[in-house]
Amino acid sequence: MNFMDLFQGIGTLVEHFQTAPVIAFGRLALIVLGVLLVYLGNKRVLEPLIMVPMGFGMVAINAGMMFSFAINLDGNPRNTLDLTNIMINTGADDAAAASTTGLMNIMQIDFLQPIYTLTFSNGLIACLVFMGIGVITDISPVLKYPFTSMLIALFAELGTILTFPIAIAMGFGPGEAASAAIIGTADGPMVLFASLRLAPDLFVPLTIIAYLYLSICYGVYPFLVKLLVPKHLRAQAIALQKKDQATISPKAKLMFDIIACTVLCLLFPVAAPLFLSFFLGNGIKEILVKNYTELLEKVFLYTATFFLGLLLGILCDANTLLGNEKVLKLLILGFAALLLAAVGGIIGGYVVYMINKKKFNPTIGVAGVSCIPTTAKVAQHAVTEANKSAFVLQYALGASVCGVITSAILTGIYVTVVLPLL
Amino acid sequence: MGVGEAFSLAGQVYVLGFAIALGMAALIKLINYVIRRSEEKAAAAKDEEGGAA
Repeated sequence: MNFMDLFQGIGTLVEHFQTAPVIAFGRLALIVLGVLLVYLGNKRVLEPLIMVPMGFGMVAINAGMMFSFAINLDGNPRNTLDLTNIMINTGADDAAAASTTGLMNIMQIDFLQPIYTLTFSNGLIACLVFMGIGVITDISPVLKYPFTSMLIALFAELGTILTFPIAIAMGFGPGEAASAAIIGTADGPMVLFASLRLAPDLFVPLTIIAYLYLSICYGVYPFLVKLLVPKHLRAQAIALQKKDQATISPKAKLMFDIIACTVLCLLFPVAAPLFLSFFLGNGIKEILVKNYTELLEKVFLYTATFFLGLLLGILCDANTLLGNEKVLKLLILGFAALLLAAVGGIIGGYVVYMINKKKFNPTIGVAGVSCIPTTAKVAQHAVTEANKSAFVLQYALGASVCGVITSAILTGIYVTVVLPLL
Repeated sequence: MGVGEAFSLAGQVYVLGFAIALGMAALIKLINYVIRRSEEKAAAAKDEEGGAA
């Protein structure tokens, strides 16, 4: 018995070392990265809900080449879960795929194939995550401070705007450039949704980079805040106003949800699934139907997040990532987009500080980068470090929720404007 | 697409986004106003009812 045939994971690795050493080293590096993601997720340095399943998936695909029928040694990247590849490798024909039973038989060859085809490749998983985000989001701070929150969030879109021409200058097409720019929204589901429409060939690396880079919000933003906001301004407390103590009624929040959903769907039908998902989730929270709230929060959100992480990990095979020369450029663009977003947000914080005659804490600006509630926590943490009695979380949450809304609006505009150019 | 054209397109996207987002903020102000007015009316009606009784 041949050793390599018996232990096929090692066999393909040895084969890769002989035929495509870059891929072989890439596989080893991605295994290490997968282990690192699980470790950092466990330590809570990174978000464990996404990073732990992603790390496990990354390790498994690169160690075992689970979907070995899709191993591609000719250097051309291909999506390992692509139905066409599976059909080719299993000998299934179009007639088999045309019938529901035949299609399901083909899909069940691989245990994750149905989830990929039915939820991932059509963007449904992004919408499920968005419903979950909607149901856990309290929009009261937005209704209390609408202009302040919206203004900060708009400045925090600097990354989404400036990355587009930078990406074009780096040789990307309009669809790819817009998808890369949307990484600046710091919203994973948004990147997944937009890239599936604008850059389907790059949606795997784009979404992986978007999720991996969310760790920038945890790791890099606190240093950026310290760099751009002097300590005496970070320590500034905001005087309590009457509206800070006001309670926003569920009726007002529900009214906003339904009107905003109608207006945005009317303006950007292509992004209607995103708007519908977010505002439906938030509306359900406000109508106080416990069963629906639990369904969206405990079932939809966690199931979707788990499979999103796992599938992104599985899609991180060395062929997909290293076989594509655009990935390195995307890594640079993603980093630039998120950095510019935070800088823009802090500029927005300073603008509101000036408008309010220096009675505002500009640190709150960083919360305009959506990534709710991480950036709001980063802002509050930076303020607490400078002044233990200063409390800015309400304002920061308002900016963060508006960040989600402005991100969805800009994504809708990008998809609407760029799609006809493709 | 050239870089200049890309800048122009990104600028248009931003201006449009800015207008819509600020429009939404104005919408929120309007909703707050309508809700506050209806609550005040309801409170006034309740007071009147209490007075009549």
